[in-house]
Amino acid sequence: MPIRFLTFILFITLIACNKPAEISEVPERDFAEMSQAEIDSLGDWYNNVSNYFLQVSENHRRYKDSALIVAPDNIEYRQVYSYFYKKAGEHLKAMKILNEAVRRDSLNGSVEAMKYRAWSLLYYYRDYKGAIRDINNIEKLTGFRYNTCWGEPCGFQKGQAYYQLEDYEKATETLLIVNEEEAKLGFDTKDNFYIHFYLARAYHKNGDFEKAMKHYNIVLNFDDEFSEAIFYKGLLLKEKGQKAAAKLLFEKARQLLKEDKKMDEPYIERFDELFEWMVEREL
Amino acid sequence: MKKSIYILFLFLCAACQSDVDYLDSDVFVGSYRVYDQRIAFPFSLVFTEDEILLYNQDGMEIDQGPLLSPIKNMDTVSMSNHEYFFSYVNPERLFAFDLMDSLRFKKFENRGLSAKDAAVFYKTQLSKNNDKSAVKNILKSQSWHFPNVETNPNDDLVIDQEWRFLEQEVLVYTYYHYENQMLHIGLKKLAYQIIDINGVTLLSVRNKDKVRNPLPLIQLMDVDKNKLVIKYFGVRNPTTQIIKPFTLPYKKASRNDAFAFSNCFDGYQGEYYYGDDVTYFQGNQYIVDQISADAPPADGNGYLILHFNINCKKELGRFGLLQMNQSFKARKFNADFVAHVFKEVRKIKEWPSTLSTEDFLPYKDVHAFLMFKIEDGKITDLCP
Repeated sequence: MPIRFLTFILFITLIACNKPAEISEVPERDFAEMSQAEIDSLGDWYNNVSNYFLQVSENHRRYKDSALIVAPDNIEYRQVYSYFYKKAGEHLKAMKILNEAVRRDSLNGSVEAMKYRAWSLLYYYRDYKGAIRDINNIEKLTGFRYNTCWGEPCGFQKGQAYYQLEDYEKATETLLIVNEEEAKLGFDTKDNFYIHFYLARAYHKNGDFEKAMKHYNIVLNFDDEFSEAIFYKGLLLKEKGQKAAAKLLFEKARQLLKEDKKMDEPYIERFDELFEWMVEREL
Repeated sequence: MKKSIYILFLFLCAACQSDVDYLDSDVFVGSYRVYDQRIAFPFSLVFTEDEILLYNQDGMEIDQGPLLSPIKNMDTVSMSNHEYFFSYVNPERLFAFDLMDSLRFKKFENRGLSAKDAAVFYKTQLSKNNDKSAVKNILKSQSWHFPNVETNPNDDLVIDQEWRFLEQEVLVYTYYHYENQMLHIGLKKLAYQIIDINGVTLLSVRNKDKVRNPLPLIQLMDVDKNKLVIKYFGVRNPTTQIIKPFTLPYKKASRNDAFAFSNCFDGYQGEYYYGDDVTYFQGNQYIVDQISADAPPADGNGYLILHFNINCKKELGRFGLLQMNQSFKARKFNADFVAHVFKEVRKIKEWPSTLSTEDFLPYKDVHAFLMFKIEDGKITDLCP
C-alpha cells in the first residue's frame, strides 16, 4: 500500500508540475556522427564565441563549457577556462579545472599547464611549497634548468618561493642559476632587475649586507626610481647605523610613491611591494 | 484516504505553478541589453494588429508607430522618436536595437552594431490581478521573502532577502548568516510603483537617489495575502517564482541594525584588476596585521575568500563566502573566526575609485574579493 500510494503521489506530482518543453532553437547534433575535423571546428566555434564576451561573464563561461564538452582534451580551452574562475575569485572551481588541465596535459608529456599552475600557486595562492614542487617537476620533465612560467623564468618564481619560505640560501642559489642560464642565452643579466632585487632582499634578510648592497645598487643603476630598492636599501643603511643616509632614501621613496612609481602588477601584489605606511613608519 | 489524496493533488497543482496557468498577452517586457553586461532595460513593447507601442518603466506609453505585418527577423519598425531594428524574433523573445538611441546602442566604426548589445524582450502572460490599488495593499500587508538575485560567488553564507513595502518605498533587507550567526544586514531603499500595461501588472522599482540606474521590471502574475507569483526580468530566460511572506525564525532587522548599501549602477560591476586596480591603498600586509591583531584562532589550515562589491561611495555590500583547504577542496572555518574577519573587512574604507574609465564598459562599482591564507590557525597571507 505505501508503495502504491507513493507511486500515485509521484504520478500526480509529475502531472501538476508538467511544463511545456522549451522551444528548441538549435537542432541536436550527435557527436558520434561527426568527423574529428568537424568536432574540432565546432569546438573552435564555441571557443571563439566565448572569447567574444567579457571573460568574467556568464556568457563566456557558458560557451567555454560548450567548447569543452565538444573538445574535452583541448588543454588550452581548459586552462583558459580556469582564468574565468580565478579572476572572479571562485578558486575552488578554478583550481579543480586547472588541476584537471595539468593532469591531461601531463598525459601528453607537456608541462605547459603545469607552468601556469606554478605561477598561480606562487602569486595567487601563496603556496610556496606547491610552486617549488611544480617547478622542480618542470625542470625534471624538460631536462632544462631554465624554463619560462607564464612570462617569467620559472627559476625566478622558485627563488621567490624559497625567499617567502625564509630559506634565503636556497633563494639566492636559485636566483643566481637564472642569471647564469640567461647569460648562456646571451642576455645581459644586469637587465634582470627583479632578480637582482630579490637577490638583494634574500642576502639582506640573511645578514649578508655587502652582497645585498651590491644587488640593490645593480637595480638602482638600471632604474634609479625603483621605489622598493630605494626603500629597502635605506633599511639596510639604517640597520648599519647610517641613519641620515637612510632618511634621504626613505624621503625619496615617499616622493616616488606619491608619483605612483612602484612595482605594479594587475592581478597580484608582488612580494615586498612598497606602501606609504611602510615608509612613514621608518620616517 | 481518497479525500486526503484529492486535497494533496490540489495542493501540488497549486504549488507547481507554471506559465500554462496564464493567458498570453500582447506585451513583451524588456529585460536587459548587452548580453555580457546585463544592463536592465525596463521598457515594454505592445504589438497590436496594426501598431507597435513603446512603454517606459513608469508604464507610460512614450511612442507608437504603424505595424504593417507581424514582425520577423531583421525587420525595422519606425515610431515617432524610436526606430526598432529586430535582429532576432521568435514567439517567446525578441532581440532589438533602437537605431535612434546611439547612447544605449552604439554603432562602431567599420562594424556597425554589435550583436551582443541588443536589448532582449520576453513575451508575457496576463496577470491575474490588475487592480493596482488592491495589489499594492497586498504588498504592503506584510513583508516578503524575495529570492536574492544580487549574489557574488558564495557557497557558505545563507543569504535571505526581505522586502518591506511602504507607501512610496520598499525597504530591501539582506540578511547574511554563517553557521546560525548573523554576520551582516544590508539595507537598500527603492522607490516603487505598480504599473499595468494591457493586463500585465508590473512592479517597477528605482534606486531613490540615482536617476540613471535602471533596474529590472518584475511582473506580478498573481498576488494574494499568502503568496506572490512573480517573474523577474533581470535574468536570462525569466521563470515564474512563488514569493512567500517573510517568516524566518530570527529577529527582523530595524533600520538601525542595517548597513546601507546599493550599487551606484546595477548593470555591470567591474573586476578588481580593471583599470588601475581596485585593491586596498595600503597593501595586503596592512590588512593582515589589522585583522590578525585580535582574531580568534581558526581551526586549521586553508583559505577564506570573502567576496563583496565596493560601490562608488566606497561602501561594501553583496557579500559572499568561499572556503577551501590547502588542497583547494571545500571546508568551513569556525564561526567566531569567520565573523571576526567579516567584521574587520567591513571596516576597510580606503579603496581606490571604482568608476570605469572605459566607454564600452560603463560600471561604477567593483566586485572584489580578499583571499586569506590560514596556517596553523593564523592568517599568514592575503591575495590579491
